[in-house]
Amino acid sequence: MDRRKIDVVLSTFLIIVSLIILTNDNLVEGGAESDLGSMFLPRVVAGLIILFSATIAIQSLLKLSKGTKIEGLELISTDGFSGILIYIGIFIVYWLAVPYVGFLVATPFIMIAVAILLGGRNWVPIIAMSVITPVLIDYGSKEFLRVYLPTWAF
Amino acid sequence: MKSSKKVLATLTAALAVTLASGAALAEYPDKPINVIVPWGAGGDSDLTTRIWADAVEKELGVPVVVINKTGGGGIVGTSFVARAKKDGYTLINAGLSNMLITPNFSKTPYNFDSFTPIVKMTSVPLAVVVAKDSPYKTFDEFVAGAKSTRVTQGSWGATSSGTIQANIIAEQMGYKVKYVHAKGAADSMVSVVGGHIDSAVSFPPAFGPHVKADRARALVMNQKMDAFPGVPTFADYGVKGSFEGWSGVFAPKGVPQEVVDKLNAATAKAMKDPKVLAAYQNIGAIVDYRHGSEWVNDMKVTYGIMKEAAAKVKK
Amino acid sequence: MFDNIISGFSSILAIGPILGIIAGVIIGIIFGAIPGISAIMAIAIILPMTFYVDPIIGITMLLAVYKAGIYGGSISAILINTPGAAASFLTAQDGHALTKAGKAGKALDMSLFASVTGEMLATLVLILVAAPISLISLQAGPIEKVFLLLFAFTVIGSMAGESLPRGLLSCCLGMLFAMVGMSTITGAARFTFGYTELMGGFTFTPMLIGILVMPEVFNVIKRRLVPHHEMTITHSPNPADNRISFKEFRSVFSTILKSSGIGTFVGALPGLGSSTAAFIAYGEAKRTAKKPEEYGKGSVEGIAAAESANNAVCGSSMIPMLTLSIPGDDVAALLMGAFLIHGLTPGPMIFFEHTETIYAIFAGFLITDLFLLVIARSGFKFFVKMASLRRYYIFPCVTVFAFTGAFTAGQNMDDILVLIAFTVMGYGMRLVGLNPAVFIIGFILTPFLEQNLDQAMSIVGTDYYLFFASPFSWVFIALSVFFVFSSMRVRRKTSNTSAQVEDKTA
Repeated sequence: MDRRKIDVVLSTFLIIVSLIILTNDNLVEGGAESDLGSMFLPRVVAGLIILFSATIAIQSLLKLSKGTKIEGLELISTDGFSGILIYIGIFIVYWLAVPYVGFLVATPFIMIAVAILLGGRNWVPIIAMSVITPVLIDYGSKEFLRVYLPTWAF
Repeated sequence: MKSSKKVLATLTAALAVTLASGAALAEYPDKPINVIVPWGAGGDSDLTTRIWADAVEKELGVPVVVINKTGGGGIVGTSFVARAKKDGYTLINAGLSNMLITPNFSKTPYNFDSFTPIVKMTSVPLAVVVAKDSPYKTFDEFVAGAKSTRVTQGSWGATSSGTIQANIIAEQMGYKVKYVHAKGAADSMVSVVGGHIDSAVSFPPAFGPHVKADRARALVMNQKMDAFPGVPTFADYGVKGSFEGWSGVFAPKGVPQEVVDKLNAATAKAMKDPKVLAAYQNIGAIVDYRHGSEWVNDMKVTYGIMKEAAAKVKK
Repeated sequence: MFDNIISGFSSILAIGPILGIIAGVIIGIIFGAIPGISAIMAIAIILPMTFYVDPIIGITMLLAVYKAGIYGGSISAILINTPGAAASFLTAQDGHALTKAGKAGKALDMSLFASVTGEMLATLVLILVAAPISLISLQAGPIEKVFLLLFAFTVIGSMAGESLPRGLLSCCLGMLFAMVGMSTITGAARFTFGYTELMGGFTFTPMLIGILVMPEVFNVIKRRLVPHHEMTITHSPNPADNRISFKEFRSVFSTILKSSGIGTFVGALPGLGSSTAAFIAYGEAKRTAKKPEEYGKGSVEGIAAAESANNAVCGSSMIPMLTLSIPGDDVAALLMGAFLIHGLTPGPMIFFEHTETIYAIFAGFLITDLFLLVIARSGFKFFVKMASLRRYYIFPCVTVFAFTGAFTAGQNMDDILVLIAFTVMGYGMRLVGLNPAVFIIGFILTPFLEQNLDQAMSIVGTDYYLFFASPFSWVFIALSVFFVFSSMRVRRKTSNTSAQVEDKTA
């Protein structure tokens, strides 16, 4: 993937967002008057973002138009991205499941899933780890942190 | 024959009662109680709540866990409790700002009526404080100064309890100040002592150490305190109203009366424990244990006053 | 004074206080090393336990947790590139690069020695010159702090990774995200789009884990088909690579001294904290280094600078707290609460009213450093062993720790969503060459900047010249200008050699 193209798209997006911040008064509500005003610093920052984004976009556009060869960091390797998507999926399932089935039930499955994703095939130690770790964390956070992790909700 | 029937009947009745109470009325509390503090760990409200939690935990026999859910000027933690289950296992550390002031400024998903007040533990009187070498020796001189020149006053946010109460005082006395909003009352005192601002509104936990070390002077307070002898009260200058910060515990509206009674009983015992009283004294708070309808009515009156005051500065 | 210190030592060298210190150090290292659980959480949890013991035991134990917690953050930073505390993300850059090169032992040694030296020096400053220093720090009001913060932003900008625009853009994005939620100054809700959940802004801990820790997991998953032995923590066969020789220590000693000085100064100024100190010290060390191009790629000197500065803050943040009752950061605020509950009111009077207690606490402070040195050193083998387990054992655990870390901070499932969102964003930022660490520092410093700027505006009113009336302002303006110019020169000097690999660690 060519990072210079992403630079242009991303910079355009940031510039549009910053322009909205600079012009829209409905982004802030409530409160009382103060010297600085609620939108002063956000607008200064928005202005700076336009400046820096534009610099990056112009540099990348120039290189693109000249047809300079992609070098070093400008090439984004996409090998193995599917694994990352699966991992994000696993994490979202984790997030959705814990409030219903509880931490102790959800965690072993999630840990096994991540272990399999990373190529683990030593079933006995992986399953043992996946069961023991959440129990230890649950006990530790209850006793020492006084944090009560979500439990089975049915 | 007759007697065995009687026994059977008694047994059945007893069983029925046991079942009913077991299912519907498991004795409160039978699991940990969470108290949400909508402010950071280490602040006045946090310490006050931690001392309370520790004391009632011993009476109730279950863990009373203090959780800091900070952010949004207390709105995040307070809304969380307003939406929580009404079973008495999620409580909120209530104070002037999150209960009576913030709902008047922001579109909060709760207001004062979303909660059942349980107890008030402590209060701290508001004071006007100046540095030791300030030209203002008395509150009268301060008022005269504020009427004639530009006087800065430290507070902690344009919609904070400090600013709103200071506004009410200033309006009655007919002066105006320029507010300088620091992160909290303690940070404001730094600016006063460092000579960066002319005065501050503050509470004893924040200004007490500075006054004791003779770096600052309290001009006027909401009520007399032994720790600060000779400081006049707002009433002495004819200011009407009560100006104080307080800390209490509320539950979401609709909790069983049993919960309110149990917590009250536990607090009543805790408030007699000399260790608890000493802990409160050490952090500079006045023990002001209140509960019941008279207290709730007082708060409703204050809520009205704050609503009116908020309307004046709201954008 | 010296007899006070000696009597302090005699009261601290008893079974109770020593056990308290040992327990505190162990708890602190463990809590500090687990990403997502910070020193402040550990102290908040232990605080009630200390109510019932003697203040000498209780307070020295809390201070031991604090010191060891700040240090502990560097262990996971070095070994698995997941900073356990915000202040150690610079250590992660250099330390993890060394670990990859098989020199984990060297990095761990350096960070421990630098931490302990920084703490010791700051503690000595605390004991000897607390009072005069506190008077200087009082002179720094909102106006001066605005300039100090602008200076900090300049330092960040000048050392921000691949290219100046990209570094500064990262910083600005961090600032923008910091402004989501309710403004503490005006009470207005900004960028919340009607969601109450956003009123409190983005919760810091899940965001920190998401931006700085989780992308590392992504990297491992991306390369999951690469055989294990190519990625494991190698152990260099040369023993000299796994320890710090006295010669090496001496060669970075001047950096440690300077960084400790910076850390002590920043710590004594209320409200800036250890991350700021680490950043300024690292920037300064890089600026004056003989080989600035090594920074971020495994520089021992870089670790020394960052760690000695952030640990020096532990000692010196006690200065304004004890002498002026002004807590320097959130941890100091919590400790001040502990002092108050134990009936010791911080302030100049504390030195007269509770002479014995306070000097015993000081003595405990120094002794804690020795225990930290010994306990942490003996744990190194164990830590390295843990970190060189196969990746399908480590990363399921990291996943769960990230989850629980994000959850325990506010006990709120929404924070997990914050964690996921910022994980994706943090990884994306790396891909397009934005610097996540700079993003975080922008996020941390913005509330301070806005608060102090607003106060400064209120104070000066229409007399704008007051902004430049104080010598502090001029000192910091001069420092900023100096820093920009000298870092531009360094950049030009090194741009030929390092431009292509500079971003590897970001």
